[in-house]
Amino acid sequence: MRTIEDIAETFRLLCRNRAALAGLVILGVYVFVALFPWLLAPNDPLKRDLALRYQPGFWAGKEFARFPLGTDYLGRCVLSRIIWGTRTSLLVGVIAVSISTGLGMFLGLLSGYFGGWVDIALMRVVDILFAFPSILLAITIMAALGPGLEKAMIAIGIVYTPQMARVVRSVTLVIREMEFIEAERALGASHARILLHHILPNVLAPAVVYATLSVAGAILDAAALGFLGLGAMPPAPEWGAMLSGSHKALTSGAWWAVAFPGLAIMLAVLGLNLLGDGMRDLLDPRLRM
Amino acid sequence: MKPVLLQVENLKTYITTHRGVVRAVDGVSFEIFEEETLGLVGESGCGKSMTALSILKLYPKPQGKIVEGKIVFEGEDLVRKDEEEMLKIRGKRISMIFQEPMTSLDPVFPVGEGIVEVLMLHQGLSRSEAQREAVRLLRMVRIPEPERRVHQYPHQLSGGMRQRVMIAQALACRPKLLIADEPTTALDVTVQAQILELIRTLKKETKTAVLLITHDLGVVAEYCERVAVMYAGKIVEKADVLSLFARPLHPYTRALLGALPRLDGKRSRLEAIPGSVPDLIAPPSGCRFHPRCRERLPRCSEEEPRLWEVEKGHEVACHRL
Repeated sequence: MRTIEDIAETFRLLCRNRAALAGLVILGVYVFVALFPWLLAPNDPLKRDLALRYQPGFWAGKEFARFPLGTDYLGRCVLSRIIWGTRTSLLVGVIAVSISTGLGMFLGLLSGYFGGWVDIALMRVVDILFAFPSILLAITIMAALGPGLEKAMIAIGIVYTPQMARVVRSVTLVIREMEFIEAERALGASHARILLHHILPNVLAPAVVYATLSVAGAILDAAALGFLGLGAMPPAPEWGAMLSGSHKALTSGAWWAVAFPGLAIMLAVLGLNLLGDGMRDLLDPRLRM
Repeated sequence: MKPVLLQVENLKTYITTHRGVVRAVDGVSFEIFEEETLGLVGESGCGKSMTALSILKLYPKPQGKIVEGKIVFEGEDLVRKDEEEMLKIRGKRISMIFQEPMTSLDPVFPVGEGIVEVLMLHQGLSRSEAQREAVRLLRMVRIPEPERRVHQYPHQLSGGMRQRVMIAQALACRPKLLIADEPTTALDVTVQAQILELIRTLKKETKTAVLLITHDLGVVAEYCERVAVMYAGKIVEKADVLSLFARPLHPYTRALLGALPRLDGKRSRLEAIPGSVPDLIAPPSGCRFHPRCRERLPRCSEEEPRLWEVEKGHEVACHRL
């Protein structure tokens, strides 16, 4: 009963924060599209027809009903590919970030709470991972694992782990020194109990915010890997791969084959960033007055 | 006289810092009888809190260490107990409440949750039983509308209310000893009196002994039966409240009392104690108070005075006696 009230309260506060609401709406649309692509896509995303290469979309006035956003270099429907690609991109973002959040929280909590040599050892590893540019690190990991969408998820998950570990560690360091932790110790709570029942819930809010923001980054990185031909395997529709397949079209004037997948990426990232920022404000219990 | 509940003997807790070893508690001995309130008084930084934390073995680790002494609680030496055994003592047989009620409760859980947790942990109650018991405990600490308050978050309660919740949490398992480390310092004066009054009433109801740590002699006079005065990691005077206030024997105790305003008509300037608490890394030789003492003798800087019983139940560590 309390939780229902809490959720209602959160929703009320969310509605008051315009930017976060906009983010939520954008993301909601994406999730809907990802769940029901077959209801929305006008064409088969894999069906090619070389006779219909680089057909313009609705702005040209003709073929409006058939290819609303035109066709790509193999004559496939751009809109349908974007719609089916939504599922891939969101999935890559969410799974990669789940990996990084899980690993990062584990490392960050241990490192921050116990300190000492545990902290030193873990943070040095994190520092080393930090030293690589993220996309380079992802490519290196992909080179070791081999190409493929699942491998891309793992690679991006690893790339985002150090940042999450750092965020969680820094919050843990603050929480650890708070008086209620000492009070809990005085009430007979063990280290495990304090870590799981008191520090973890307090770390959760900033971690969720950071994870939301990371999903945006992960989607971008997945697109970049796709662009480099390391992510989704053709002919599967994926936003990054769509950009890469059609980028030559830019010079021949078929801008739609590149612009719309790019727009899809941009809007998804924007929505996630707005939502993440809004959640930062919302999840602070002190602001819930 | 009631039997002894807690006997601290020659306790030494040292803390290693990068500047050197801080002798925060340096040979402290005192006892708490069942159902009594012992006041532990002293300036900031004299080792009062570290003494309290040593009893529960909650001093900072690994920097802090009990290097010597015994803490005998109900016949068991706590110094020899390992962490596992201490977990069963903390919150169950000895509880502690802290200075800052604003930050002493977990901000992400309703206040009742803390009490429920303690009860489930130590008493093995089911969640619903613990929930009922939590409401009862909140009523016991005189929180109005406990059924509603139990679901509220710490930020929705005032400082005084939060301290009441802390007390409810600490007394949930009916401990034999409650350590209150400056429980009212962060509260305003009227709330202070209410909280201390509450502790006194509950102490009688639950037959709990209290170790009240404070720097406020007014609080000691009002709420304690016996007092130990601490200075620079050592106890300098120990007596029952009446004889300490009637006949303070240690120059430091006298100086502390001289720094208090009087209400009985005699108006004089308040006497500040010159100087400040010494550095506990390199404490003064001999009697640690001698650099600030007005009545010092030549031997005070050379020889450390021992705590000895001047009158029955009144112990002092000073060369002048």
